[in-house]
Amino acid sequence: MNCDGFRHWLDRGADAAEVEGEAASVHAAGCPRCASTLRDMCRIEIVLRIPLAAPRGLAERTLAAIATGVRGPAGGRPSTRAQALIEAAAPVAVLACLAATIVALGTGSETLVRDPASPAGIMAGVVPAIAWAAWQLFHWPTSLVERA
Amino acid sequence: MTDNDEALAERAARGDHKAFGELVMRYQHRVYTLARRLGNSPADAEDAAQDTFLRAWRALSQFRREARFATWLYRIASRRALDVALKRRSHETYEFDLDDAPLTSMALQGDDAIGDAERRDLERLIGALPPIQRAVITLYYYQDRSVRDVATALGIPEGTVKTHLHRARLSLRRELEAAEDRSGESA
Repeated sequence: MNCDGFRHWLDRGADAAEVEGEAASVHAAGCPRCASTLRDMCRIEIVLRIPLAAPRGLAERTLAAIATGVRGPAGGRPSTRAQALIEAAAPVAVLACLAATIVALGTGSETLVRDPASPAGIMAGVVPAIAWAAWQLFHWPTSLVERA
Repeated sequence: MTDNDEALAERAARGDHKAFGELVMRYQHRVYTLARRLGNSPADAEDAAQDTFLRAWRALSQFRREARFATWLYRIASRRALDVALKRRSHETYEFDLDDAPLTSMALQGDDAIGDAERRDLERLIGALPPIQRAVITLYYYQDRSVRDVATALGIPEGTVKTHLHRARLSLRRELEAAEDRSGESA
């Protein structure tokens, strides 16, 4: 290996386990300049590996902020009652969507236009609204977590 | 026996403050260093680090074991650190300060001891790299040389991580050789 090959090996990460690692070691043993660069690169790696010390009290201040009311992972989740509502909303959303489709495909849309005050007309108008509301409710927990 | 990060994160996600406190103690130095290396002043880096942990606490329910906890946390940390740096428009520079003490005295002992002056020189070389290269090379060593984890943490492709790593090493090596040439001429 020559100096160029050695530099190329250094720039790839100076992995001693690579096939070229041994050849690189042999080259460095006989080339003071490359040996010096390798030593310096290893020292940079040491500097990069050892983190700077965080300011004194950072952890304590962070934990104090959490203890004094920053909404935590449990806060990002809906309450048990809300969870039950959401779980109930899922099948309601599906059923309402199905009902809306059936009504729309059937006589609902026609009745809605002809006689909106009739029970069928009211159903044709209300069922899609229920479907939409149920769908929104179903997606509520996701929006809660995203806001958190 | 100490719990691993993922077990602690699971307990913390159930609201265990003590478990989250342990994670904060483990990662405060690395998160702070990452914020510094991304170009934040010590005060801004402290804010970014604190904000990272607060966001992590709020989002713990979203943590899945598909990634390591460290990778997930570094992702939040790098975004926060970049946001803060961009707001301050200070992300292009990284002024190393000798008050930025290393976490351990490991680097300052033994045959390979690195003194303050030498450390300052080496930090200056790291500081001359573009921010993304500083972030990549810093995370590379924090993530046990895993290119994949660095890519996940920074949200960039693995090939891009490799490119930045190569460029960072090339720049550092050239600077080191130039410094050696200068010291050889002056001697």
